Amino acid sequence: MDDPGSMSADIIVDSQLSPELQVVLTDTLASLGAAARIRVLPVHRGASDLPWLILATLPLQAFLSAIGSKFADDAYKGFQNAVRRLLRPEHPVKPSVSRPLVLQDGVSGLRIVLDHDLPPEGYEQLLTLDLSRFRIGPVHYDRAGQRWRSELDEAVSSQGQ
Amino acid sequence: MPVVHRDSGIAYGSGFRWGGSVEARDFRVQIGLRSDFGYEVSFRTPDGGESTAVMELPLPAAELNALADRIPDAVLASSVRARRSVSGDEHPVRRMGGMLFDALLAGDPGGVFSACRDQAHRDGGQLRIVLQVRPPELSRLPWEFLYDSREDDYVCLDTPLIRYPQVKASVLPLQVTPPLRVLCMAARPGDQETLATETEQRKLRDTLSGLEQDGLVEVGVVAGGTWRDLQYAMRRGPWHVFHFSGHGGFDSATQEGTLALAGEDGSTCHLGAEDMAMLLRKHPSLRLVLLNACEGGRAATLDPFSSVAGALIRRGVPAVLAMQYRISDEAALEFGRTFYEHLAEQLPVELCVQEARQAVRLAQRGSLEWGTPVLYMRTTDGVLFRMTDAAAGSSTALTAEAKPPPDPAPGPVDAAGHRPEQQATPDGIQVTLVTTISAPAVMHSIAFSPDSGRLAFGCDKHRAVVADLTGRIQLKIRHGSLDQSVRGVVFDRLGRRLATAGDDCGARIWDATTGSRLLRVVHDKAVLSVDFSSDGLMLATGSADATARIWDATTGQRLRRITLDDRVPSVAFSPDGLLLATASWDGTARIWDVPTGRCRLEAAHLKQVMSVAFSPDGLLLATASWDGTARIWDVPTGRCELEVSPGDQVWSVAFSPDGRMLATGSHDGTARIWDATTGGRLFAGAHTAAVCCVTFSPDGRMFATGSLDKTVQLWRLIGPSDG
Repeated sequence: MDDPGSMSADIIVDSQLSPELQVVLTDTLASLGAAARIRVLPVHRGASDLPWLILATLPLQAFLSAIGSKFADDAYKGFQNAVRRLLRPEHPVKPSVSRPLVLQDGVSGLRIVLDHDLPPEGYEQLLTLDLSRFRIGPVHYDRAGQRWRSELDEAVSSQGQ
Repeated sequence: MPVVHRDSGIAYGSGFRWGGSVEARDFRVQIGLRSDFGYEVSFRTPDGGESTAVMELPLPAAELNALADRIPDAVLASSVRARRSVSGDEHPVRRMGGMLFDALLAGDPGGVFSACRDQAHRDGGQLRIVLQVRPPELSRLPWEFLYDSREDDYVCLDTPLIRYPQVKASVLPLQVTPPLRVLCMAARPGDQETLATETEQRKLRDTLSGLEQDGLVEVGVVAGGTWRDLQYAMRRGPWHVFHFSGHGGFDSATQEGTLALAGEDGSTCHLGAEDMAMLLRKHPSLRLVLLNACEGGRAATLDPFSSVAGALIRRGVPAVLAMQYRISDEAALEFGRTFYEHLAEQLPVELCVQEARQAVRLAQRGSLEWGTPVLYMRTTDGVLFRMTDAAAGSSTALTAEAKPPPDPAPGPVDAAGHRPEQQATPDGIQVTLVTTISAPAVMHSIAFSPDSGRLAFGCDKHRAVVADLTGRIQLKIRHGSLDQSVRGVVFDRLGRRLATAGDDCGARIWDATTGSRLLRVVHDKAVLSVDFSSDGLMLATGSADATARIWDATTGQRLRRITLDDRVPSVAFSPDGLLLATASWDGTARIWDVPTGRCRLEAAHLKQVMSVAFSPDGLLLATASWDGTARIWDVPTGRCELEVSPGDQVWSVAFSPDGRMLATGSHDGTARIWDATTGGRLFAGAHTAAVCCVTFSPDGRMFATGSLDKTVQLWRLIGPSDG
């Protein structure tokens, strides 16, 4: 397992994320043991927004373990609050749209999608999520099923049976 | 100034390719549909060597797609200027590129590719990869990032890659009398982020100003950002190049690409790919479209033509340069600037792209956005224009005056020893009779080989023959018994197999070189017509038993049986192989959905329909009927777009490879060529008996007519686009 103490996170953020919130992001990751480097995307020629607001590339399993180790600390609650604040719908320029924070493993590329309204049980399950169950992703929280899942992995798995 | 080849009497533009100083050599790669063993890949080297290989996916499909889905973010992220290395962004890109290279070019093909590239360099030429990817699931992959791990470099930074879409016919070059007219449009909807489009336009004009002063280029600007502005500006054409700068995207709901034009209220009006193609379709002078916007090359997973670029290509634009991912404003600016700088130096278009890729890489250190542009071309040789010398005449491209007849063709005279006949029409098309070939018996059908170098005839007395263009017979085939006729002949896409339809109730497939029989399929009555699907995997037959049938062209297994009300004298696959058209004596032409067998369209004539032909883009169907008319139908709507009346029973109909001309053969012994858009008659040639078959050569240079008078007349076409 990666050493949480030596984690580095490469963060790409949409230019709509304010500098203040960028600081919130780096501080939050630092409290979890990840040194973050933030890069702001330049103006591009897309007619619509990117599908994410923040793309954080880091050693995913180690990062989840780090959050888990802080379960009893303020850092864990701080992480939840930061995600909600960062992704709060009223913050982006287009208020009706809330785009997610995507955690991406630096090696496998597996992605976990964190929405602004991820319920507490979603965070709790995240701490013990076994990433080896997923090969393709993206992994998102299914509120109805109350579990983290990857529909693509499930589809491939069912085809193989 | 364009390079002028005085020896030919006209300015010969290469490239657009208008240079000509750089000899292009093509390394052609075609990835075929998936079989049980993998994807069949065929390679063709510049010297004509051919080989095939089977390509397997480097990863399970789902994992490959997941990796492909990471590339756009990685490429865009790499555009962020940072002091530190951004190699992390490159990891998935290099991994994907390496896997694609190894899958496609591992082993012998890779060695051949390297040898061809080195040889081209030694000879002072330039190798181009011309890639045709037929499986939709593979066409979305970023082939521009092919990464050769042995050379530790991306292939496309050194060797241009051209994507050749799966369209049946290529587009012929257009003869352009300067100035070359470039139309620029910058769309700035008020609710979109501000882009450097004004700077882009200014740089473009600055770059081309020298050529503008010399009268070689004229730059126009669309006065506004709405579709109405564009429509108005297009009418002020003809335009040869259209440059769009602005925002673009992909609509997940409609599964098509979009461009962000301005609405009447100034906010964004997302113009869909098909609508954009519709706006530009009526302007056949357009040779190149550059979409300097995000995702102009992004298509739905299973429909490569759903991107804006794809829709334009399908509608006949010969070359489209578009972005497969989002692109930063800065990279777009750099790309456009460098592209036109090199275009102004008369480099071929693919080399302009390559130079622009390198510029993006150099100007934005660490950026991977050099791989975002994709060049699609549907010309086989990359030639989009042939520029005439401005001094030779002031007429514009599509209304060029008829030139004096060329020097008499040096060789062929007809069987009777007559000199070749030449005709010039008011439309500038010259049709020269090259030779008259005596057939061994009454003629029923003719077909050109894909390389346009051979002709096959189907005749009475169970004969089919393959001959060269001087009439020298290369192969004789006997199909059925002596009292039976060969009603239909067709080559497969590689020219290796020949299919015949015969009175013996059978259709047969032969080796087109040796004449050995490869396959036989059977109807209940005489088989009257045959056609191969463009991939060569299916064979369609039409019969006097009032059925059309589709067969596996390899195994002979029947895939589909379609029942009509009367005999079926003609069948034709659409270029994409998804549709089959039938002509029937019941007075209808119908279009069938091949996968489902459902009838998609029924087009009615007053009498027997004798012949059907799809336009090269598959959007039009031509029909010939004994009611004395030939008609063109819009396939999507079923609307009759054009009717011509040769005046007697029409036996045969064919589109020219560029889709602009329609040929008919009539009972009155006349073969005619018509303008497929206006219906204006361009040419008429006479036989002494009914003309039962007409066809254009795939390269668009020849026109052949077969008659019951037992002759084939072979004509050379010299149009406005030829020198």
